[in-house]
Amino acid sequence: MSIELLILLVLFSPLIGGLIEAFVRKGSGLIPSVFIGLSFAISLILLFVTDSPEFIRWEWLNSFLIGIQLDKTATILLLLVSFISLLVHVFSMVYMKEDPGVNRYFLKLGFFTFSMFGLILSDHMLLLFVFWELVGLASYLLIGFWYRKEGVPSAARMAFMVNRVADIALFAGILLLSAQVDSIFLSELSGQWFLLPSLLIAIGAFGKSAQFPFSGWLTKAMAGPTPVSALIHAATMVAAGVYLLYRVSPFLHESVMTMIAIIGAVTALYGGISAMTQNDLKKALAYSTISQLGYMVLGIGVGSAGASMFHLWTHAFFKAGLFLAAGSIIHYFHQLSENGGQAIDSQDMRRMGGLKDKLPVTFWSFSICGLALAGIPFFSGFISKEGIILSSLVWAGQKGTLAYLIPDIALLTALLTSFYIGRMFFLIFLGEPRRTIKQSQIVYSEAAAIRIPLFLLAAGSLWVFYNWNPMAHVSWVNTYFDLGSVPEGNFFSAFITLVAIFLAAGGIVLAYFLFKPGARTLRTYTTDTRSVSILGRNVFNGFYLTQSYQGLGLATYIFSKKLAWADKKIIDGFIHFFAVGTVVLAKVVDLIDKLIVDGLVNLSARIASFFGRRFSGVHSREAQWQLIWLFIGFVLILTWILFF
Amino acid sequence: MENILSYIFLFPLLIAAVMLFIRSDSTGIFKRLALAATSVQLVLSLFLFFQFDKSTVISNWADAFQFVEKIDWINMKLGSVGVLNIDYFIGVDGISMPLIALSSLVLLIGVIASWNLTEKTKGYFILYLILSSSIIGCFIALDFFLFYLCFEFMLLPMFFLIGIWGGKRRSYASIKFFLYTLVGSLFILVVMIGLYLSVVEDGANTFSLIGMMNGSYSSDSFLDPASGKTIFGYSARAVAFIFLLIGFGIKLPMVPVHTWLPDAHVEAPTAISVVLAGLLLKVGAFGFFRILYGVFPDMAVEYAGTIAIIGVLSILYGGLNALAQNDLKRMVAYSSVSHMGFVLVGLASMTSEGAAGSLFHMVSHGLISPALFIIAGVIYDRTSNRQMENFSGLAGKMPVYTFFTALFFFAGLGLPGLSGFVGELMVLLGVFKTTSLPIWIGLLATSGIAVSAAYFLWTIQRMFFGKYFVREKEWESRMIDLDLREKLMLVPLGLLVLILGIYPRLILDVSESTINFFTQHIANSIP
Repeated sequence: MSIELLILLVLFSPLIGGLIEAFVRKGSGLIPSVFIGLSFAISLILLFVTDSPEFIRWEWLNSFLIGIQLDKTATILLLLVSFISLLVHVFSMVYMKEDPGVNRYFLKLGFFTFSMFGLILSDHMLLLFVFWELVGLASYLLIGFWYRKEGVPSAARMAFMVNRVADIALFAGILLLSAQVDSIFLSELSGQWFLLPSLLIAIGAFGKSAQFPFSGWLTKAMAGPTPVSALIHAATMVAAGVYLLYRVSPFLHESVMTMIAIIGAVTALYGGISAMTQNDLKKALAYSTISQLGYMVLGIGVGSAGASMFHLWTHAFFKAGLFLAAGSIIHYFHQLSENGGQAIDSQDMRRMGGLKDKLPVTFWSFSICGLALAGIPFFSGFISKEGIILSSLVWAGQKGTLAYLIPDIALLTALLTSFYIGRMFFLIFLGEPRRTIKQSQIVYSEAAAIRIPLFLLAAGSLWVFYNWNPMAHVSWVNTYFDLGSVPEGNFFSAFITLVAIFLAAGGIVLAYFLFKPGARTLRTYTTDTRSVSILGRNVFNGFYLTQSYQGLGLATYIFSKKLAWADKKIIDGFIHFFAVGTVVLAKVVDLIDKLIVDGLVNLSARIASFFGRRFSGVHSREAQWQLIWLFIGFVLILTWILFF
Repeated sequence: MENILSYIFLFPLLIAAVMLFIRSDSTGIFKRLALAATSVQLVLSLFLFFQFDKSTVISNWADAFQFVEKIDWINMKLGSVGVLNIDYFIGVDGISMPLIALSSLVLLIGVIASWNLTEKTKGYFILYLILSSSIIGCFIALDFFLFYLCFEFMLLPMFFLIGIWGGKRRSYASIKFFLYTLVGSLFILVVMIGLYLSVVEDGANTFSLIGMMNGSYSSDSFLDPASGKTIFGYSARAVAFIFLLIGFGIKLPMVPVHTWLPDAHVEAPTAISVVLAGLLLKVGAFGFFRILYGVFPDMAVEYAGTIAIIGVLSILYGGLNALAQNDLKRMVAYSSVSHMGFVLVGLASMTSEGAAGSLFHMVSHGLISPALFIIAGVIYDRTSNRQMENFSGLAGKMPVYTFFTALFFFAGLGLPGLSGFVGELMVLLGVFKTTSLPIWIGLLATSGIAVSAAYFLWTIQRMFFGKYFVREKEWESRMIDLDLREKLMLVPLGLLVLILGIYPRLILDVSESTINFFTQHIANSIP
């Protein structure tokens, strides 16, 4: 089989699987899973058989080629996406089993996977934009999956709209670029771009990757089913922005690169701070994702795009693992509430605790993925995060003193990260169950479709798969990304690595003392619902980003209402005025016609009749008398002529 | 099939004439006849579409037209003024070909949309067929007089169709529509007479559009570019161009002469909205292609900035107004204003991408907006109400309806993979490529697609998501999903929107050579 055919097979099989599930054989998600499995298997083959990039191009518009390419970056990312998607499909078979819309769900999931593959395979930037929008649509549809639930429709819309605003920047950037450079095939990019297209494209990437100030939509996106959050809003789609930046970073304007580093650092810090005080399990993970995406963007900005892509890879594993663990927990509570006949908030960590024994596989995989997130040695996250931090230090060394703020923020965020994940861990798994509902009422064991994905993702978060040396900061995965080299280790970097380990461990220790079973702070936190300080409220609400979007939306709406008023009253009003004016004028003309023009005619008639009447008095009315007078007159005249 | 174009043009008129002789109480026959007439029209148009020679090399406007028919029509001696020469002169080029195919399809769908009409069917369908003929006539006329005749003749049936079969404020809306467009037509009439007196062919004055586009002016005539004649100190050609801009701008419609559109749409019956949005607006846009840009390329260059700004204004203004509407049909009407703005912007770019994009966008909008009006009609047929706040959570109750609504809404907001995106993309490609427009025009036009996302998604959220709810109890029983007739209209439109989104060359290939000549024609007149 030719490689072209294999590529098309990878691309389309998720869509076909979804369509079969939705329209032909309405099953339990088995068929879509098989089709994704097919994609995964072919991606694996492609990884080994592709040595030089493969191109497929076609003329989409007249004399306007677009195309796809399969280079080594694309192969490894295809593998990643198909693997995570496969696990999520399998997980969903249990998680969504009882949902009446399960067919619709798998169709949307398949459509998403198809679009994501397309995004990775796109060579032409406009084709990339096409799939960029399609993953956005898939995200919208999946966030809004439970469209009847309160808050879900508006969450879906907000996610789409925020993305759309950023997408406009991307779209304009690509179009502007297409007018300025020879080719916008990713494989043929060259030169240094101007400021405006660079900036616009970067903004587009920020939107998809939930960078500040676009971060808010990702927390709203948590309204969707949890496996969706694992696939789309943690592992794959949100990383698309990072991927785009990776592809274009060598050509971006220099000042835009600096901006990217700064935005990345700000986002990492923002997400880290906001994640610390969340009660909602998924929201905390969402902020964590924002923070980690900040790391990746920061890495791109400091010129180590390869390290960022490696972090993208490891993050996909441990964050998908964390989300699926969250899904497992939520599933457990759902079962509980169904059996207990009592609706409970299945995502509030204050109401959890003691799940270690109930959900052992979930517990272990959460622990491993959490340690990877925290950046503890022997776990994947440590290796990839070190790469970014060290690169940012080298970069700061070249830039000057102020630039050291960036690695400083990265290190500080490492502390925050381990703190919030430690906090979550202690709140969820340790101690006694804090629910009033009896948990021992049902016998619950994690299904195989839940255990296997969790196990695989946890295993994928161990160091051995990336580098035998647990203290390394590069891996074989890096070789699939050409751009940006990670600095060699030296004494200074070893010192920084130690600092990072110390910070990561410190965060966990701090979390332990505050949230260990029986700690007073834990009791206060879980029972006290009094309002917190302004700062606390700010942090808890993610600095009111989503509220600001709502405010902006409302302002636009009010403006549009005013405009509609103006349209009706002023523009249409002018026409009305004109029309009414014409009618009034017509009436006036009518009056003039009646009074003056017609009046003149009537006047002359009146004058004539006036004089007529006056003179008519001269003659009397009786015909006989007139005849007599006529006769007499006639006789008189005749007499005068004859006799005088 | 030698006179195929005339068959397409006049066949509905013939059927309308036949209808005159049928007793008006046999109601069922009229819709069937109309269906047959428009079906024949569609088949012939498709035949024409696939027969159309895409590879012609064009060096002069006369080469651009195929299936040309020319017959002497009116030859009147007017004493000292000279001879009035009017020909029955028709033909198609790459610009009108897609529009003819589109028209035949939309007209057929319009007949299906009026299938359930029971009131005064005879009059309705006769007027409808007259309208059909005049719309096609506008696209194929190569004689300005014939064009103008058809252009005017669209008004009359439209006036009655809205005024008799319309909604509550129908007489207001129809009179507004009539007066508005009549004023526009008068501007065009003045220019038409001016052009007739200025353009000569074979030594005699002519209405031939080919002659006008080729610029065969008699020397020192009024509109001869070389003569430099002025009216009140303004160049005569500039005045003529502005007149045409107003005339066709009203039809398009462009802001600020768009206010007839929402009223006409809201009051018109569904089928008439379908034709109005799908085709009548395209006639206005076609006038830009054929007459504004075709006959006055020098002025088009000079006023490119103005037209682009009007276009951007229409995009944003129409979009924001759509956001403010609570009536579904009114929202769709304003979205039309917004979308037609892209046509102006694309034309103003004067690049082949932009012009081809404008044309493609016209076709795409000609498929999407009829579907949107059918969608608005679905809910109105069931409840006699279209206010968005009266409905919620329809997705659960009417899934197929929701699917189609979402499909066309996303097509409207320019989702890639659907036809709306291609038009906008090409228009914007042209705008960013051209050197004659500043970058901010492109940026503002691009931001228009965020506005369209805002109003479409918000409508979906309000009407289709959330808990199921309808305002009145008695509507409950009527909230049933799409019936066969409604699917019959939406499915072909949906398929075409999808096909054109994925394979836009279906249209672009047909128009390519003409559009290239068109842009070259404009470029040649850049001093």
